[in-house]
Amino acid sequence: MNQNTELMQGGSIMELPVLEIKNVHKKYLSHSVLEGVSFSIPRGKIVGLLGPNGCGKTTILKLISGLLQLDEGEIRINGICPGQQTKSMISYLPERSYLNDWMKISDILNLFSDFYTDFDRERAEQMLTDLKISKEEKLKTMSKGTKEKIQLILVMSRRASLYLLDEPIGGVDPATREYILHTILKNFDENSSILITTHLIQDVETIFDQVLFLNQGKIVIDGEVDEIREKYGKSIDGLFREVFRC
Amino acid sequence: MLRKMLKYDIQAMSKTFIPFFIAILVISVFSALSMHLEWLIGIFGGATILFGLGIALFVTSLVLIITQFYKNVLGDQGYLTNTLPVSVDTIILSKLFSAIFWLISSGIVAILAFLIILMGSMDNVGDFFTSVAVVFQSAFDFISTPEYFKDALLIILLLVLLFIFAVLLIANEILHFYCAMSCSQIYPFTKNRIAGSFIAYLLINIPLSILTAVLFSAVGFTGTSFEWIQNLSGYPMMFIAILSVSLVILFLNILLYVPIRYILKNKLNLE
Amino acid sequence: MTWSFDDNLPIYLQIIRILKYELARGKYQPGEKLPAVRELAMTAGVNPNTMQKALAELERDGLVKSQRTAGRFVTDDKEKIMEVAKTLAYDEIARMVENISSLGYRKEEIPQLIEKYLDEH
Repeated sequence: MNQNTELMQGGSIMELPVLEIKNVHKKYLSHSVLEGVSFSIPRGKIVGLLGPNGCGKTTILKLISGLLQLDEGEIRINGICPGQQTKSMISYLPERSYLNDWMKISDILNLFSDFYTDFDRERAEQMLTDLKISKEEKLKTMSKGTKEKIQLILVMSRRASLYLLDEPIGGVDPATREYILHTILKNFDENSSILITTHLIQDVETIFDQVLFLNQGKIVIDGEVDEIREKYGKSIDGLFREVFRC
Repeated sequence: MLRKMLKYDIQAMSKTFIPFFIAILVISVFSALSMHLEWLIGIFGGATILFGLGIALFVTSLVLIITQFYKNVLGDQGYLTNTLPVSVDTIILSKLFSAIFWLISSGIVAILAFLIILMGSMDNVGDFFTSVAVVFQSAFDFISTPEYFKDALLIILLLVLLFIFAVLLIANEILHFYCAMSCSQIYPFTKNRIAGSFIAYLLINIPLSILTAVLFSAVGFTGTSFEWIQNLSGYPMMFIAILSVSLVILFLNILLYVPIRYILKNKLNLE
Repeated sequence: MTWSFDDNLPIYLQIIRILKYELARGKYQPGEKLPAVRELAMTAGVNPNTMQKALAELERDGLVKSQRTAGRFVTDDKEKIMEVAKTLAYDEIARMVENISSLGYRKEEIPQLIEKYLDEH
């Protein structure tokens, strides 16, 4: 951790892209999921990783977070390969609920404070209070939707340099979607970047700086949202429907 | 980090173990009282419940040790566990140590239950405490007598060694489970991860038991083929015997640990 | 409530337009302090960088000015705001003229049409 802060203060890390992916390949058995994916994310950007279901978006996030190992290519987070060190720089929201049922809210807050030095507990507590969730409540008794919100609060309460959000707005009602986007924007700061996967683009494209279209294991479009809108004369959603027309 | 992790792993299992322990101790007191009052129904009832609780505790701890690892490392919770900034060793060892901790605690509770019942079986409860005092007094006398000091030390050493041996054996069984479950991350076991784990358990069992048998016979053979070992008597002989089988188990444990570590580090493939 | 955007224009241009409307309508008075970029971005439901870009554009046009530490303020120049209101009104008229023309009216007929409408309502 100390080393990281020193690097940060030295300024050298600020010039590196938060995330750099070069020619990444990944196969599951003989089924090739990623075939030479390359892109990079500068500091202070919100980036959408877009593509149809099952196109490998989650695989990319798992590779970055170190839950999967790549077959070929290179991934760098602040210049470092995925490993124990990068795990403290990344705040990852998987699609699944990873909360332990035996825990109370206070237990999971303790766990995050214990393991993540960048966890801003006060911020998390404030957001939980806003949602009227008591710290003594047990996770076991909570609805799936509430658990998802808690998980998002935990993830966004870290001061990480890279946030990986896997389908944060998949299958939620419009009010919840608004809450989620609000929470993401509220906690975003210019020293970090957010990579969000989604296949529902219409309501979120305004929050992206940059979008990546993933199709058949490759990035087919990579650009600034407004540039794309200017160039193609249509919204990202419209372009998406065109690129991924069945 | 290991300490922090252990805290949560021990806590996770405490919700199941603590109520069990309380139930066992309460029923033991009840049985002891029934014995003391010579109330037959109470004695039989207490014994039956205790027996049932013992079996249930055994089965539950087995299930809990297995599911704790599976859910927390390889299941959905694995998305959190495996992205924490800790090493794979911390994750595995924390699970292993917390499991051993609860098994040892179960042993201590069993001994306590036994003592409580023993206490109840005595006509006069005071007798129990005097006999306990006598046992401690004589043990203390034994150690503090200069000419027996060496023997006492050896006995203590032997007991410690036996304890370590027992822990290593327990660890061996637990690591066998962990290793089998870790295999569920690899094809073809990924097809049905739970069934895959069972099959992997049986498959690992084959080389493991062969190796255990070979190593134990090697130890035995070495023991019989050196005259100086055969000429040893009493404590040193036992000491060497337990030490060598402990080392064999330790070696097997490392052999089981390596693939678990490799899989969690390089072949993790969460659903 | 977040703002709604058209599909085919860059978002920052649409933000500029909406902000200009808000200035013209007097939601933010001349000389008034504007909310922080992040806050504006959150109410609009847009990326803070995009909001920043839009505000920078307004600054270039002289409609807002930023003071290093204090934040961003609406210009004191009331005439500039009036100018903006006029431009926006012209835009609306242009659109209306185009739509009415497409219904088959000639240009000269449009003022009469508007007068008649205003009389009736």
